[in-house]
Amino acid sequence: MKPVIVLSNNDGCAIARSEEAKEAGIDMGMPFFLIEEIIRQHKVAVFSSNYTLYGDMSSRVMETLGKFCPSIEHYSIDEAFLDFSEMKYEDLYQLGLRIRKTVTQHTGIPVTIGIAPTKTLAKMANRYAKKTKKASGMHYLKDQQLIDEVLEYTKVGDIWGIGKQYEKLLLRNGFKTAFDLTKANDEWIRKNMSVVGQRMINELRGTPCIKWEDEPPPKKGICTSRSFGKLVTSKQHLQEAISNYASTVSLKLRKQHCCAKQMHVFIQTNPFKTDEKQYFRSVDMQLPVATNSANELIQHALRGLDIIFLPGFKYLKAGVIVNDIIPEDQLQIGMFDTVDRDRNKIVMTTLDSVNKSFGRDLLRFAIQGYEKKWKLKASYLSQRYTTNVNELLSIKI
Amino acid sequence: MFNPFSTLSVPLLDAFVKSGKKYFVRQTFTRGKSLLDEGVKGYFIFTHYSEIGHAQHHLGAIEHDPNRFLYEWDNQEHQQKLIIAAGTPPGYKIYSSVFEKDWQKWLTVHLKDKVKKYIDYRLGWKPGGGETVDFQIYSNYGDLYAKLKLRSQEVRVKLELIENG
Repeated sequence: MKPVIVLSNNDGCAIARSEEAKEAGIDMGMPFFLIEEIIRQHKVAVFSSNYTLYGDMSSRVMETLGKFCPSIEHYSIDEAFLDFSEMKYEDLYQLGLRIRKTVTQHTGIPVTIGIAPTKTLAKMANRYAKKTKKASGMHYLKDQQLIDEVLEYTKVGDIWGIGKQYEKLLLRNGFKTAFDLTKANDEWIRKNMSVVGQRMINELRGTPCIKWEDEPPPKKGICTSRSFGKLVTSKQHLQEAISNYASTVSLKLRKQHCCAKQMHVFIQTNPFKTDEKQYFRSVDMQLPVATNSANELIQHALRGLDIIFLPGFKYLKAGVIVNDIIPEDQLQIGMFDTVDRDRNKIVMTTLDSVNKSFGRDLLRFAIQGYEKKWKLKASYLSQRYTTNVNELLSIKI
Repeated sequence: MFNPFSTLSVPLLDAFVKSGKKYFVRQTFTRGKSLLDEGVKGYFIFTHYSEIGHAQHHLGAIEHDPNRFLYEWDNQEHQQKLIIAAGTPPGYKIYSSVFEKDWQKWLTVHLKDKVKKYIDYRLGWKPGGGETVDFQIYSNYGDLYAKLKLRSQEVRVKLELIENG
């Protein structure tokens, strides 16, 4: 098989690699310019990150999973928990195999499945399947003997929720595997790893302690920041970029029916270009009234840029972050507020529905521009086979 | 130029290795030059890392430096060279990327003046009564940076820019 790697934003570093690429000597996070020689030598297939494609494929996989079980938690773009506790008479092993086969059939994406009494054990079973059961791609911890086998196989550092510091602490105290940890003294765990550690131990012992989240919790802060494809010196291009980021942030806020009360705007030069002048500057702004309207957020972001921009630097990155997020229906109107919020709401609803039907950013504010000279570099982008009609996959018959 | 960096010493090197910092990036360090120096052939700074990826990033960021080098503690030959470097070899001044404990005391009136001018003229900040601008320094890829904070604003620049301003 040909080695394959995926690059980070702006084609900076290798962020995913196949086994073959690993064998060729490509480490995770290695800068692209350092591995160009290996890529040439081993004829590595290189791809830029294609988030549109990943997002769409992920929702297809999740949709297929949802057909097998109504209770599903989307944990991340490539992980989900399914609650089988109500399926008492189902052969879960066969169900797992069926799910795997169907997902592959519907999407072409191979998935690994771990079935266990708790989320932590399910993650562990999944990892075990990935490492040792490549053919079936699944592992079901049906009884205590199978659970113990996986617990003994899993090193403490590989347990879900154990970071580097906890790993060091546990190894120092003689806990090598997850099985050792199940025998730990509860008092010691609570004292050294707090109640979160106790919860994890209970999960390892087979008692579910991590709550089920059918809906992802609303975000407490939303950030949109990007590195530019090429260094930017003009204020106009920065204004364009910042306006686009503020617009994206506002869309994310509206999607979760929230408004933000605080905004953080930053710009920075390239810290890797050590021989060039460096400048990083940020500003926090309290918004007079919490909002999710793109026009208002763009105005505030541009005001922030006016404060922090200095000419004479080559800027690499800019970003807009909003904090202090509150639900839309708990908005407190300012006494001296002059903005027509009802009108803004109608404008935003119209803008969102037009863009939803005819394509993202089709309707936009003039300041957002069309040229996007600063746009992210993605020289090895694969096609958006499933989301763009012009890039559909064609096959010869 | 203002130089708050500690000289690389054997106890310091030991401490780095014990805390898992096994990768060291060497680079030219002009900030180490002093008018009083005689017979010094080279000025270097060593930056320590626990992850090789971070060290490689650093190395990539200083590709214009002909003296750049990555030492790995687990390589016997490199280890010997690191020990020699930490033993203050004659003709060389070698620094580590950690600051002296009392670096604030070394800030000269001249530098304080430059910082003040940068705040006044370049940033246009006007602190109100009772307000102070928070001034910190930090090291990035062997270079010295200043971090200035006033109310909701934060600025980070190479200290060199302030010194030459």
